[in-house]
Amino acid sequence: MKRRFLTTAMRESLVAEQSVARFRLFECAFTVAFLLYMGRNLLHPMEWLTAEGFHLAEGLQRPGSLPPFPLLPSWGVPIFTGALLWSGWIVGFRSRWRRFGFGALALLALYAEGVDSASAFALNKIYGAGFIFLLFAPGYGGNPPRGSVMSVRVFQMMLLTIYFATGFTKVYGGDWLIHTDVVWSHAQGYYCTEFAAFLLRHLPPFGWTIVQYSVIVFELGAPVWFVWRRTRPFAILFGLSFHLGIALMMQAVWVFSLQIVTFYVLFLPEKTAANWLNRLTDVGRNLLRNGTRD
Amino acid sequence: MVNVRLAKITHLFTRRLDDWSWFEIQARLTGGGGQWVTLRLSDYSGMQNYGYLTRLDRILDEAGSRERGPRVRRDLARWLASVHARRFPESPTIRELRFLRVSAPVGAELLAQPSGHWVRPALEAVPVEWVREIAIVTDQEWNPRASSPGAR
Repeated sequence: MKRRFLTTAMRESLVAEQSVARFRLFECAFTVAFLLYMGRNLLHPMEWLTAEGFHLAEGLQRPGSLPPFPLLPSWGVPIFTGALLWSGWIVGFRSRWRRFGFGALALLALYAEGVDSASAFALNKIYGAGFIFLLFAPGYGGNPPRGSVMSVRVFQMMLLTIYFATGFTKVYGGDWLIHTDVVWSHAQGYYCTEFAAFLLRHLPPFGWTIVQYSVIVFELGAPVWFVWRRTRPFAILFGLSFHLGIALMMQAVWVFSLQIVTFYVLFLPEKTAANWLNRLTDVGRNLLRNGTRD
Repeated sequence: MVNVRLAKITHLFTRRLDDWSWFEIQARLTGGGGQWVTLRLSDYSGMQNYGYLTRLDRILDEAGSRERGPRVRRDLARWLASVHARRFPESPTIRELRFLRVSAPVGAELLAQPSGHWVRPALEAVPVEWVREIAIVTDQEWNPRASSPGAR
């Protein structure tokens, strides 16, 4: 009896069919975040993608990098940009064909990682893995969309694993429990923004230590804070402030904060997600209608 | 072992930093009287994706190994010389490049009490003990047909 109850509960929470508005919302948010990241690189397209920039020859990349992919000719840059926009448009506005969009985005993410290791970061890997899973994720349909909750769970688990692993490496192998000024040491240097400079001048040493320990508690405990319904709102609030803080204190790192924050929509209540999704769909439809009229 | 694998995926700021370091590149130009002139890397790379530093800074920062470092610096020197000649046709050509690493200890006033966001300090403004010469690459190395150093 007890075993059957547990099996049913497990099936309900892992694979049961239910409303997956938050998953649809995540698909859109994750894609937009990727397009913004690529858009930032595309401010310097020739340096990034063509032989006009300096690129490392094969064997000279940092260990673990992909072998260098062929560079684009200058006429390939608009094609690359067009492919990004087309894929984003398919995901956002042609939900039925979204798998084509995800397939293309996975290939574009892979190309962005391989063409230039100097502009690829850990977030490239997360985008690549994310789009590959979205490509093969269980389907859904209807309004509000219904489908297997497994897709939601996989990405929730991905976020919690990232948090737990980053916390774990800070404590085990790292020295976040050995020194009290680790965050203070990272706030300095060439990532230091105007805001970080202000904090460096005004925040007392114990303030930096409080930030350091609260980050460890948040990251290591993330699987509990996000899964337990009672702590979830606080986890979301803390996490959002944490990533906003990183974006404000570290120049150019907003792209990472934005990527991680997109996972947060997966922890919204379904009703809220469905409302947001409806509103976004209306905005998208109006945009398309006005665009067609013009 | 597990930790190493996890660190490869998520090695984000795991250790306290003792210093912040970056590279400076100086050039000796034809007819420059042997003077070293500091190049602004932002003149050659507009892609500022490494904090306030450029993509080229990241390449240099990650080319630290003994095997890869010399080859990366030689390739970069060749590229910088050719881009310099193309972008600044009025300027004398580059004959030698010197790669310096500046290591500023955390807590130094420049880093720990900044007056605003990070700005690469002028090489002349930092204490000499922070600066270490990594290598000099001559045009003989990136272009073997170039004239010998004595003829400059």
